[in-house]
Amino acid sequence: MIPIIKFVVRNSNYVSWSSSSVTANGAKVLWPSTLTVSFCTNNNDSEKKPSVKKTSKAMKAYLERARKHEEFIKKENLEYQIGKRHLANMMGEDPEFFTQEDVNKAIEYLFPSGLFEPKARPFMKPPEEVYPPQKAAEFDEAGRPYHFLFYTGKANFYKLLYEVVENINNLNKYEDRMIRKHLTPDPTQAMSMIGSQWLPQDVLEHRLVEPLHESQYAAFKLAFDRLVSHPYSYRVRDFIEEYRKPLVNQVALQQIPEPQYDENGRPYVTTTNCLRKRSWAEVTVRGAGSGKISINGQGLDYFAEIQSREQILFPLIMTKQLKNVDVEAKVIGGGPSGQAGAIRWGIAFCLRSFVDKEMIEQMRLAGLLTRDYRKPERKKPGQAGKRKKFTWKKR
Amino acid sequence: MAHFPKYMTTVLCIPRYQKQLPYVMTSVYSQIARSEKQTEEFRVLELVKKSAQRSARRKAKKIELLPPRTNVMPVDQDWSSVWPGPRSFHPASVPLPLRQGYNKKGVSPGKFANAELMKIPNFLHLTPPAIKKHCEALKKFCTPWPEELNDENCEKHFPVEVITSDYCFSSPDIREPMARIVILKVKLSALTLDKHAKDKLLRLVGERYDPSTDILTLTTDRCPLKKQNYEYALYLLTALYHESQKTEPWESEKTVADMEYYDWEQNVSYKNVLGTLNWPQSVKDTENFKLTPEMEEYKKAISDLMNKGEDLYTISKYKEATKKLLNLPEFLPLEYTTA
Amino acid sequence: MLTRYKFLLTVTRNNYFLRQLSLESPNVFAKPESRCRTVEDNPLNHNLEHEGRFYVVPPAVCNQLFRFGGIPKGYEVQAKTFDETCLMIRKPALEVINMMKVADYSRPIVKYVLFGERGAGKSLTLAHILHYALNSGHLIIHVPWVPDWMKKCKDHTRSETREGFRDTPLDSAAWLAHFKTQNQHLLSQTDLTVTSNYTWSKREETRSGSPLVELVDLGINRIKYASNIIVALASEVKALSSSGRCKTLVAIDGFNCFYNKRTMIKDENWKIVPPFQLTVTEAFINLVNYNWTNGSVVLTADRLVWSGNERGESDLPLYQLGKEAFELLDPFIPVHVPCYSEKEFHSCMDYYMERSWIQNENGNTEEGRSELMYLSTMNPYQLMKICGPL
Repeated sequence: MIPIIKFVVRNSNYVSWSSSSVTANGAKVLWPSTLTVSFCTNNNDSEKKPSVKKTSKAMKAYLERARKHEEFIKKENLEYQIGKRHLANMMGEDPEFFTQEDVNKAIEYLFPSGLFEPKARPFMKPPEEVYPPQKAAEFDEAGRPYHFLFYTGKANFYKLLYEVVENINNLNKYEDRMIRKHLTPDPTQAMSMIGSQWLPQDVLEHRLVEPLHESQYAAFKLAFDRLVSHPYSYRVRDFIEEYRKPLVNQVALQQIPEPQYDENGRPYVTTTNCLRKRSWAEVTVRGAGSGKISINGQGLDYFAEIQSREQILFPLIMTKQLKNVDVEAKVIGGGPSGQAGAIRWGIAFCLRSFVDKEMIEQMRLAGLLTRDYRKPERKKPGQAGKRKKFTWKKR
Repeated sequence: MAHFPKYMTTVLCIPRYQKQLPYVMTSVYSQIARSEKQTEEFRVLELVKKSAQRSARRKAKKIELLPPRTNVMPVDQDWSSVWPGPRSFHPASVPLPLRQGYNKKGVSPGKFANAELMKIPNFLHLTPPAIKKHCEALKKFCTPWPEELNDENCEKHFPVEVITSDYCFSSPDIREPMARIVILKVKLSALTLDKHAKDKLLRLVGERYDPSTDILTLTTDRCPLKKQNYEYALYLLTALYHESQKTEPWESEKTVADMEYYDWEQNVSYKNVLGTLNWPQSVKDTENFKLTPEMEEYKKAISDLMNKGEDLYTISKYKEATKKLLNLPEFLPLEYTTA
Repeated sequence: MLTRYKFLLTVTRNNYFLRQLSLESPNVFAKPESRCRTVEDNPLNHNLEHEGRFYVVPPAVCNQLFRFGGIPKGYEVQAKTFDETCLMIRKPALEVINMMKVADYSRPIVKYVLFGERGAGKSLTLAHILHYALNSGHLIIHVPWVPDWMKKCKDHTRSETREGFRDTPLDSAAWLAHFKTQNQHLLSQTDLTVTSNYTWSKREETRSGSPLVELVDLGINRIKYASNIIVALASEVKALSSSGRCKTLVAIDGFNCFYNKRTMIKDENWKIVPPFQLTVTEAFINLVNYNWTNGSVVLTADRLVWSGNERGESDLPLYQLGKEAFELLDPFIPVHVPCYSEKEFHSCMDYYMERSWIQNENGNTEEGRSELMYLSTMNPYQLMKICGPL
């Protein structure tokens, strides 16, 4: 007689799993508390019917929803692909090589909306970008979760922390081995945390498809900082980089333009859109020069104030390029301070191509390469100015 | 039909209600059936009809909508035949999964029942392949551009350039107020104008003349139609040309202040120079003097200064000319000199 | 800082005792020749060799020429701090002086118009030319700054002799005193006499043949007639020069102010008086006319005569003078007074270093100097201002 254990779960939405025991095979099995076990024999009885696993209505509904969502996304995707082909056909382009950029351009062409806000204009995007990510079914029909940390409530998040700890443990073991071999970590490969920061909370939430509390986000940062502080952290560089967001400056700094050459063979770099307060400037710095500065056709005497002149000279003096380059600037809008600031940033940005990395770093530390995004505040109604109020009268 | 109440018969005559005939019939028949039943027994007065006996409420006729056309559109169809002309957006005919708008929490609304997509202008009727077809269709009315007519010859034989704009529309309405503007450009060197005529024309025309390119630009938009504006522009050009050729009697009253260029001999400067050079004799008759080379140079320098504008270069030329006129040395000698 | 002040104190104390001596022997405390200095303090001997270097104007000359003005206020303060009035020998001044030496004085007067941007050194160039004129025995008619009369008029009355004109008694008298001081040696030594009769009132008159000094003294004493006396003086000087008894230099700083449309003077009806309704204007306009010989006229066309940003677009003479003034002066020699050249800039910096004016450690380094060069855009006035707090 082979005992066939039949699990019957009575009508209950919630099943409590209390004790465990071992089956004949040696596999661990969890026993529900409301469990009826009936031993069946091999007799040809009505119990020869195949064992039916009954699931609760809630689970059924949940699984149904998950399945439907998946199907829905598939359907949307199909629609999108077909729509893309239709669009390519409409525009007379090759559907095989029609990228998302082409799609956007085509939509702009066909539906020239005059709406100011870009988000309010019509768009056509794949469903992954349109619909917020949802988790697929997290457990099977039996109610058995796929993820081993499902019962934490935030499986992906805790998995991530678990991975961090795993990595730390592995690195510790590696370090032990290295110490035994009398080897030290390679200082040149050490990871630099300058110029990037940990993923912000909302991005992380989007990636993990789980809402996070502030304390959990703090725990995430703590764990990763711990990992990075390990001397051999460079071995898991890829893993760490996934969760690092480079700061904007760093991105721009990495793309230093190569100087172009004009008819006389002199290298030059032009920066447009130098903005500061209400001013717009375009600055060209030419190498192999003698220190000529021209602003809107005039010399430095375009600015009557010494402060404005000093602002423009500062990057040149700091990089010691005052006598080596010529500067031509076009500037419109704003007042002397704004214009001077715009030109200063432009000069500093152009000088990156003429100067070595150390000096660029010094410039960055001096704040020459930071775009000052502060704009003048508006005057509010009911007030005399931006912040100033009208005279307060007690009565 | 005999037992139909009177109002029923009148109603049934109206064609509109004939459509609803089957419903009427059923309700009538049911009434007849009931009444037949009740004739056997005492007819009970029913003040409030029971739900079962109430006549079947006319349920709203559910119009069976066909699935949208987009489901069956082939991917390689000819779009210009699907959407031949300007038309407001119709979601069931446009096979694109467009979205537009905001939802407080959730996804942007789709194309069905989206008023925003209908409000926006659309150019589905002017896709690049459609435009190519238009061009192909128009080609048979066009002849190839003559090869000999390059830019130079164009300017030589067709000096007048007329520029107009036409606008495409996203709606069936083709009225565009900007389309009436006509710009006429002509180079003054193409017109035969003597000195007086040119001066008069320039004064009449004012800012419409660009001296650096020698182009006169006339922009007309005062009439509602393009054709009218074009005729007006041509008329303007003709009028300007002929008016500038005429000389009015009051033009002789032109004073030195009205002069558009600096004529040294008519100006005080000439008298000054002559006075200075011929001092102590006063100069009354300024007409019979021969100009020495220094005076010529001075004349050129001061005319340039006045006509071309003052800058360091013209000023320095003036200085040198004056020095020569007054017999002063060119530059400082290096050795010591005592007075 | 303390050392600098101590140094200056010793210098001033010494100078106080030796000032009387220096009047007779101008070179008693002459500083040695250097890259930025020259000992030669007679403008008659200045030439291109001395270009870019400073020379000390002897205090006596300073007193005589510039007691009532002529050196701009800022520079005067600096001169007082350094305890010497130093002028830089620059090309524009040398050019004018040379032309004045070589000109044909039997021909009508030659007019020079100095122009340049604000702070470039027009007034100081004029000062240098004045020193030359003094040393070469010219009769000097010098108006230190015309807008002082137009904008800061001390007193004005209705003119008795001319209808609709206004007199400026106090200013005219002050100017006559200035004229007397500048020309005291000529007026006392040579015989400059009046050529025609002038009747000022029943009792006062100036007869022809009387010395010019008398006319001037009358003006200083009788303020009422001062403005008219200036007009008379102008025509007398012209006549004297033409007859050969003296050679004249007319130096007017801010000449284009006469051609302004308005002054700050308002008449009894509170109407603004234009410059051409002032009596004194006529005198100087007369002097600038080309109908006399044996004289030179040096004028400046300055942007600063206008108020606010008026006529601020360009510093060039035609634009600054305006059509009328240009026609009056034409033909004239425009002399451009530029900002410092590199040589002059370094000379100026050396002078400041010598005077211990720049205390900042970076002041004397190459980088510091190039920074200053750019900051001041080589403008002498701006350089002076910037070096003040250093």
